[in-house]
Amino acid sequence: MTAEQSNPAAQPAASPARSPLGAASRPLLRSEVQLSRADDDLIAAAPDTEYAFHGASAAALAPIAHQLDASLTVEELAGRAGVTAAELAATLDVLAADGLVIDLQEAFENPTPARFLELYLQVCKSWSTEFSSAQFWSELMSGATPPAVVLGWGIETYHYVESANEHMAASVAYCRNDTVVRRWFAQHYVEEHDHGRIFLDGLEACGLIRDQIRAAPPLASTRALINFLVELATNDSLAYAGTYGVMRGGSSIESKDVTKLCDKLTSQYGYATGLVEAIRAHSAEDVGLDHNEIVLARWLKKRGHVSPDDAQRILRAARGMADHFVLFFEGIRDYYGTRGALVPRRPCDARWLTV
Amino acid sequence: MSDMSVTAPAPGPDLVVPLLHWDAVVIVADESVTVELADSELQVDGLPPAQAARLLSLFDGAQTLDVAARAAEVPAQAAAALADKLVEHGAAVRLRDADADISTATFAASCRTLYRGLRERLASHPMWAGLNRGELPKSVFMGWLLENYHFIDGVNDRLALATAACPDMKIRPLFAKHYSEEWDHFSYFMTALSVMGMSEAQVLATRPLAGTRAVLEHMRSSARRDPLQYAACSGFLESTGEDRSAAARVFERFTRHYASDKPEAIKALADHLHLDGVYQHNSVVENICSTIERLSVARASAALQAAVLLVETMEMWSSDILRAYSGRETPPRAGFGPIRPR
Repeated sequence: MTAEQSNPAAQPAASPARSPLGAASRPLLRSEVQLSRADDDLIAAAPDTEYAFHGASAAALAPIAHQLDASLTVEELAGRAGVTAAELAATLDVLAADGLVIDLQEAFENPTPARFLELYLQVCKSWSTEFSSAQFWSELMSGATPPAVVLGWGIETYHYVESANEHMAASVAYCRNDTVVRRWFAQHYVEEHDHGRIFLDGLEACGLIRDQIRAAPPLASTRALINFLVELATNDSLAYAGTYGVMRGGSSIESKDVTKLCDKLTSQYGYATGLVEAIRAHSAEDVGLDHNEIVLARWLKKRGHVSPDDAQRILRAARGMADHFVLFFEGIRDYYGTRGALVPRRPCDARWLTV
Repeated sequence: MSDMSVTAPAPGPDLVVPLLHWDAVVIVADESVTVELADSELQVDGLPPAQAARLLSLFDGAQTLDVAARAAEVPAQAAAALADKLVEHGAAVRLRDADADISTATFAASCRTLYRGLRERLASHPMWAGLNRGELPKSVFMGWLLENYHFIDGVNDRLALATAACPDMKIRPLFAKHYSEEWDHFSYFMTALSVMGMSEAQVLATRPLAGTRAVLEHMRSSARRDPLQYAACSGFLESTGEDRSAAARVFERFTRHYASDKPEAIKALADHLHLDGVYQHNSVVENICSTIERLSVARASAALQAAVLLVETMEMWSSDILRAYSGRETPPRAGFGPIRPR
C-alpha cells in the first residue's frame, strides 16, 4: 500500500478515540474530501492537504470510491474491489487516521450516549460543509450576488424562521410519550416562535412591503425544508431532535463569526443593511437563549442508551437535513438569480378568475 | 412586443385595485421596464425604470391605484394609464368583487388551462429535454427511473393520507376509490428497474433524493390543509398522461437512447400509463368540484397555489435528479453519502 500526503503539517482533527479500521468497520468519507483520478493514481483532496494513492492501493480504492457512505462494511467493499479486507482497511486507515474517514459502525453497536454524540457531531459538522461551501456563499462573500438574490435569501430565511410555528409547534404537539422532553421542545419553541418578526422588520427596512413578504409563497426548496421538519416532528420526535446538529453545523455558533460575517455583508450590500442587522439580532437572541445545547444531547443523556434503530433514525434525519439545506441554497440561486424574478414572489390569486 | 407609452390621460376610478398576474416577469433595464407574460411582452415607456418597477410591484391586489401611485411617486394619470394598458394586454385585472365566490365549473376549467401551461414549462426542464434527446448519461436515466419508483410507491404516503384526512364525506370515497386503483403501481417501476439490472433488494435499500421526498411531502401537506388543494395537485399529475401520443413518443425515445437492448423496461412504463388512462383519473378535479357547492376566492387561491407549487417542486426534483446522478457510475444511494456527487 502506498499513499503520499502533500502537506503533512496540515492535520485535520482526528477522532478523539479511534480504533484502526477493521473488516466490520463502516467507512464514511467526510464530505470535505474530493476524490479524483490522475492517470493510475487516485487523489483524495481535503481542504488543507492532498493524498495520492498509487499502485495497488489506488486500484483498490477506485471501484469503491463512491460507496464510502457507511452503507457497506470494509469486508463488503473489499469484495467489490477484489482485495482482502485487511488490505482495504490499511489503505483507508491512512485517511481515517487524519479524521477524513469516519467509522460509523460504532454508532450502531449500542454506544454510550456521550460516544454517540461525539460521532454524531463529527458527521453533522462534515455534512454541514456541503451547504456552507455552496456556490451561494462564495458568491455572497465575494460581493457579486445580485440584489434579487440577496433580498430573496432574506425572504426565504424569513419563511424558514417563521416556520418554527409549524415544525416546532408540531414537535411539542406530537411528543406524547415523554413529558420532560416535551417540555424541552416547548421551551425551545416558545423562545423561537416570534423570531420571524426580526426578519420581517429587517426586510421592511430594505424597502420591501411587509404584507407582500408574508403573502409570498416560499420557494419549493424552502417549502421542502419546512415540510421535511414538519413530517419528522409529527412522526418521529427523536429523529426530529436529530436534525438540530446539522442546523448548528455540528458545533456552537460563535458570535464573533456572525459579527465578522455581518460586517462584511454590510460593507458589500449597503441596500440590505436592514436584513444584515436582522441576522445579527437573530443570532444575538439565539446565543442569549443558549440554543447551542440541542435537545438531542439532553434526551440521549436522560435515556442512557442509543439502540441501533435510534442511531439509524437520528443519522438519517441529520443526513436529510443536510440534503434539504443544499436544496435550500440551490433554490435561492436558481429562482432569484433568474432575470426578472419577482421579489417578493406573488401568490396565485383566484380573483383573476372572477373578472 | 407592443410599445406602451404612458401618456394617456385616463385616470381610473378612486377604488380601482390593480392586480398584476402572478406569473408576470418584470425586467428592469437601464432605460426601460418590460413586462413578460407566457406568450407576449409589453414595454413600459415614459416613466423612469425604478419608478415603473416600484409601481408594478404595488399592483398586488391590495393597494388601490391611488395609493400605489403615491407610494411609487408616479403621477396618478400615468399610473392609471399603465394599469389600463396592462389590463388591455391581459397582464393585470381591476378588482371590483374581491369577496365573490367562484363557480366550481370556472375553477375546474381554469385548472385545465393552468395545467397546460405548467406541463409545457415542466417538459422544457433540462432534465426532460436532455433525456428526450438522449444527451444525458445513462446514470441520469437510471436515477430518473429509480426516483420515479419511489415517487409512484409514494401514493401510499400521499393519497392514503388525503383519504384519511378528508373531512368531506362526499369527497372521501372519491379519494378512496382512486387510492384502491393506484396503491400497487410501484410494481411497474420495479419491473422496469429489474429489467435494467437492479434487484428488488437493491431498490428497496436505496434512499430517495430529498427532491423526491419533497414532491410527496408537498402533497401530504396539501392533503392536510384541504382536499381541494390535494385534488388540484393530483389533477396536474393525472393531466401529464393526457396526451397519449406525446407520451408514446417519449417512451419510444427512452427506449432508443437508454434501453435499446431492454425494451421491456420501457414497456412496463407504457403499460402503467395505459392503466391510468383506463381508470380515467384525469377528471379528478372535475369530479371533486362537482361535490362542492360554494367555493370562496381564498380557498380557490390556495388550491391554485398548491398546484403551482407542486410543479415548482417537480422542477426542483428534476434539477435534483440531474445534479445528483450526472456524475455517478451507478445510481443507488443507500447510505449517508452526499446529495451531490463528489
